[in-house]
Amino acid sequence: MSSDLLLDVQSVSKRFGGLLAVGGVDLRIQRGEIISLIGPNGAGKTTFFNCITGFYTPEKGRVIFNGREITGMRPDQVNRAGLARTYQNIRLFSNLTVIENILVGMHSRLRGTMWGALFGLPTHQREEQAALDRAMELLTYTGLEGKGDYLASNLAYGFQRRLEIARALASQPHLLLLDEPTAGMNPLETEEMMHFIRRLRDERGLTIFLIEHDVKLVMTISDRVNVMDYGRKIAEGTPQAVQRDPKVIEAYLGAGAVEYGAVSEETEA
Amino acid sequence: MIGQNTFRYSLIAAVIIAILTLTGIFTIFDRRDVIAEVLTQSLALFFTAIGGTAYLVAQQSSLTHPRDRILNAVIGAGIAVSVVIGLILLSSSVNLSFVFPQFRDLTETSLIFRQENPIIGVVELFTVSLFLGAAVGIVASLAPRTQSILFAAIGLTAMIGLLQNDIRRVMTIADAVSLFAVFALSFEAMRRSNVQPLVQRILFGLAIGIGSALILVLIANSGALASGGWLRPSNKIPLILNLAVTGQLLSFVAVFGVIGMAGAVISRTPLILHNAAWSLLIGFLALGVISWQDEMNLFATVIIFALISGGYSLLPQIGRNAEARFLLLPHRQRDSTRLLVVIFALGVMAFVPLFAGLSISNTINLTMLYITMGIGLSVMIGYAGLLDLGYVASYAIGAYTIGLLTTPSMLTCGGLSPDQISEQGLNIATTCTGVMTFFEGLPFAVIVSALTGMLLGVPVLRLRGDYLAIVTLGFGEIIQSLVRSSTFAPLLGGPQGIIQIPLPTVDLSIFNPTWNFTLQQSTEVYYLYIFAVGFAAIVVLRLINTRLGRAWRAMREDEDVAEAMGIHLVWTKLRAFGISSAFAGLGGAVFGATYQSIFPGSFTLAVSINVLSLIIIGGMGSIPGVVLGAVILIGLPEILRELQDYRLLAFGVLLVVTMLLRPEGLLPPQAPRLSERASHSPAPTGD
Repeated sequence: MSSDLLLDVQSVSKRFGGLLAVGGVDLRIQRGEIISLIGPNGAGKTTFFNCITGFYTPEKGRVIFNGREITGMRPDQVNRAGLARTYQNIRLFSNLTVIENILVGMHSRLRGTMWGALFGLPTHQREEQAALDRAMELLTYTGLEGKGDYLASNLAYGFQRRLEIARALASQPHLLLLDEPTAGMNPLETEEMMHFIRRLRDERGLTIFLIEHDVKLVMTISDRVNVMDYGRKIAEGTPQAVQRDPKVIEAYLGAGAVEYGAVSEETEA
Repeated sequence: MIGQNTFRYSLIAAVIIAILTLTGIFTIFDRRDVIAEVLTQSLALFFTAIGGTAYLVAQQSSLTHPRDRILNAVIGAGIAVSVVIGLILLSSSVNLSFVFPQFRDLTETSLIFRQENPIIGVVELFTVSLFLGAAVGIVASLAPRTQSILFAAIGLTAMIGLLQNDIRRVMTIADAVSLFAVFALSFEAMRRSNVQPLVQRILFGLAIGIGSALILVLIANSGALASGGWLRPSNKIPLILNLAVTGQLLSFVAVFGVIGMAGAVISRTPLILHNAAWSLLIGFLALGVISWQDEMNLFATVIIFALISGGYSLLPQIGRNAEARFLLLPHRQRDSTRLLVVIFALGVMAFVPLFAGLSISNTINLTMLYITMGIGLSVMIGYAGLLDLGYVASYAIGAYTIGLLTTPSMLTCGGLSPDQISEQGLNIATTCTGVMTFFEGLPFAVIVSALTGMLLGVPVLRLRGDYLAIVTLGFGEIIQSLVRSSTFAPLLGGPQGIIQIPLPTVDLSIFNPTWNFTLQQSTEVYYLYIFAVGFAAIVVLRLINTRLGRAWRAMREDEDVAEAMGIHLVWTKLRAFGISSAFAGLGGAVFGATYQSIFPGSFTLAVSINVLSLIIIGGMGSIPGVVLGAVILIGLPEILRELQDYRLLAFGVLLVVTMLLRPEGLLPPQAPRLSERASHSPAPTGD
C-alpha cells in the first residue's frame, strides 16, 4: 500500500451493558505522524485503544490498518499485522528478565517451531542468536544497557516504562500505541520521554499514537490532537486549535471555564 | 539470664513432643539402628526433638552471651525431656492403648537405654538430655556457617546410618580412596596449571589418570591385595583395584583415565557441578568406610562425620574458585564443559544400581517416575501457569495404553481370551504376545497421552487459575471412573485392571545371540526410568529458553499482555497440555510395564497431589527443584519405611514450613543470564 493512510478507524462503538464507552469515533492516522488522544478520566480513551488492538471487538464500525481490515481480529493477529502497544499501568512480565521480556515482544517476528528447538536445528539456533543480538541492540537504544539480566520487576520505575516500549518495539511495529507513557514520571523524566518518543519517529520511522495527560508533552510533540469525552470525539486538530476549542475547555473544567492553562493541572488518579 | 520466650518455646515444643510420643512414634522407630548398637532411630528422633527445642530456645535474640544461651538451652531441654519422662513412667503403669492405640510401654524401648530399672534409665535419659542441651547451647553460640556445617554433617551422617542396610557394600575403602586420590590429583594439577583449552586439559587429565593407574597396578600386584594385605583391610575384594590383578588391565586403566579426565574438567566448572562431583567422591569414601567396617558402628560414624563436615567446610571456597576460573573460559568452552559434565553424570548414573541394591533401586525408580511426572507438571504449572489438578488422567492413559497394546489379548491369541488359555494349561507368555512389544508401544502411549491431554485442554482453554483447577480435578476423577466402569471392563479389566503386562525386553540378538535381556529387577528397570527422566528433562531444557518456552512463561505472567505481544494463546496452551501429558503418559507407560499390572486404584487423586506437592516444595519450573522435591517427598518416605504412617503429617509440616520460609520452593528456577550469550557480549559483571 503506497497510501499514506496507516490507520483508519471508522465510527467505532463499544458498549458495556448500558454504558456507551466509545460511541462512533472516527480517527485517521497518516504514516510518520505523532497523534495524541486526550480527554478526562473515563472518557473512553483506553477502551478505544483496546478496540483497535483487538482486546475488545467493537460492536459497530471498522478498523483498517495498513489497507487491511483488522476489526475483530485477535490481539495476537493485530500484533502480527504491525501494531504494538504499552499499558497505562505498566504490565511487564515481571518474573522474566529484561532481555526475555524483549524476546517475548519479538514473538510474532520469529518463526522458530517447537521441533526446531527440540532438535536444535541450525536455522533455529541462528534465529535465536539473531533475536538475542537484536534484543541487545534494543536495550542500548532504549537506554537499558547493562540491565539485561535483571528481573523486570527489579527495574526502577522509569526503566520499566522504557522496557515496555522496548518490548513493543521488538515486534517491529508500523504503529506504536502508547497508553500514558509518562504517568507517574517527574518533569525531568517526562522531558526525556518526550525526546525519546520523537526519536522513535525520526530515527525509526514509526507512527505513534499516544494517550497522554501531560499537556505540555502533548502540545509539544503531537502533530494532531484528538479529544474524547463521554465516549465521543469532541475535537480534533493541531495542538493550538484544540487548546482554544471551547468544547475541550468545557470538558475539562466544566461549563463557564475559559482559561485553558488550567488544563495542565489535571492528573490521572 | 533467662530469655523471655524460654518457657513459652519449651512448653510448645514439649506439647508437640508429647503428642508425637502418644502416637507411638518411639515404639515404631525403635526397630532400626542409626549407629549400630549405639543409637536407635527412636533415640535419634528423641535427641533431634530435644536438641531442636534447646536450639530454638538458645536462638532467642534476647540472649547474647554464650553462658545465657547454654543455660537457656539446658532449661529448654530439661522441660522437654521432663514431659517425655512423665509419659514413659505413665506408660509403664497405665495401659493407654484404648485412647492411643499405638502407644505402648516405653520402658521397653531404647529410650531408657535398655536399663532393667526404669528409674535408673529415666535418670540417665534426663542427664543425657541436659548435656545435649548444653552442647546445643554451645553450638548455638558458634558462627552461623559452622552451625550449618555441623547440622548438615549430622543430618547426612544420620541419613547414611539409616540407609546402611540397604546399600550394597560393593565399594571398598581401597577403591574409594584410590578414586578419590586420582581425581584430587588431576583436579589439583589442572587447578594450578594455566592450560586453557578444554581439549588439552582433558588430555592432561587422561595422562594423569593413566599414570596413576600404572602406579596402582604396581602396588596392587605387590601383594597388597592379597587377603590380609594392607589394601584389603576387610575380607572384601576391591572391585576396581582387583582388575589390575586379574589381568583386565585395559578396563583398569580406562576407569582411572576417565576419573583423571573428570578431575581435569571439574577444575573449571560452575559451583554447583563442582560441589556435586566432590560430594559424590565423599559419598564413595563413606560407602568405602561402611563396607570396611561392615556396619555403621561408632568408628565409621566418626569418620563419615569428619569426612562430611570437612568436605562442607572446604567445598564452597574451592567451588567458588573453580567457578571463577570457569567464567574466564570462552563461551564455547563453557558449553562443552557443561556437556562433558552431563556425560560424566550419565556415566556415574549408569553404575548406581551396582551400589544401590534392589530395595534402594526400587526407591530410586519410584522417585524417578515422579521426577518424570514432576517435570511434566512443571511445564504446565511452573511454566505455562495452568493449574492442573487432574494430572493423574494422563498418567493413567499412558499406563492403560501400554497395557492394552502389549498384553496378550483375544486379538493376538487366536480368539481365545487369556483366561481360556490358562484354563487349557498353556503359558500365556509363550502362547501369544500383545499387539506390540513394549518399545514399539511406548511411542504410541506417549502420543496417545499427549493427544488426549490436548483434547482435554480444548474445553478449558478459557478458564484460568482456580476454575481450571476444579475442572481438571474432575478430569482425574472421570478417568478413574471410566477405567473402573463395567462398560469398559472387557477392554480395561474394570476394578481388576490389566494384569500380566509383559516386561520390557531389549533384544540385541542381531549383535550377539545372547544379548536378549528382559528388564525385570529394579536394578535393570532403573535404566528405563533414567531414560524417561532424561527424555523429559532434555525436552524441557531445550524448549524453555526458546520461543515456545518464553511464550509459556509470558502467558503465566500476564495472559492478556502475552496475547497482545503476538502469542497465540490457544496453540501455546494446547502445546503445554500436550507436552506435559506426554511426560505423564511416558511415566505411566514405564510404570505399567515394570510393575506388570495396573489397577484403577493406582490412579487416584493422591498421585496428582503428590506430584503437585513435590513441585511446590522443590520450586516451580526448576528441574533441580523437581528432583529435590521428589527425593524428599517420594524417596525419603520410601526409605524410612517406619515413617509411612507419618507420611501425611510430614507432608503437611513440610508444605507449611516451605511456604513460610521459602515460598518459591527449595530450589527456585534461576533467571538465565542471556546477555552473556549475545554475540558482542559485555564483560561479565563482578557479582
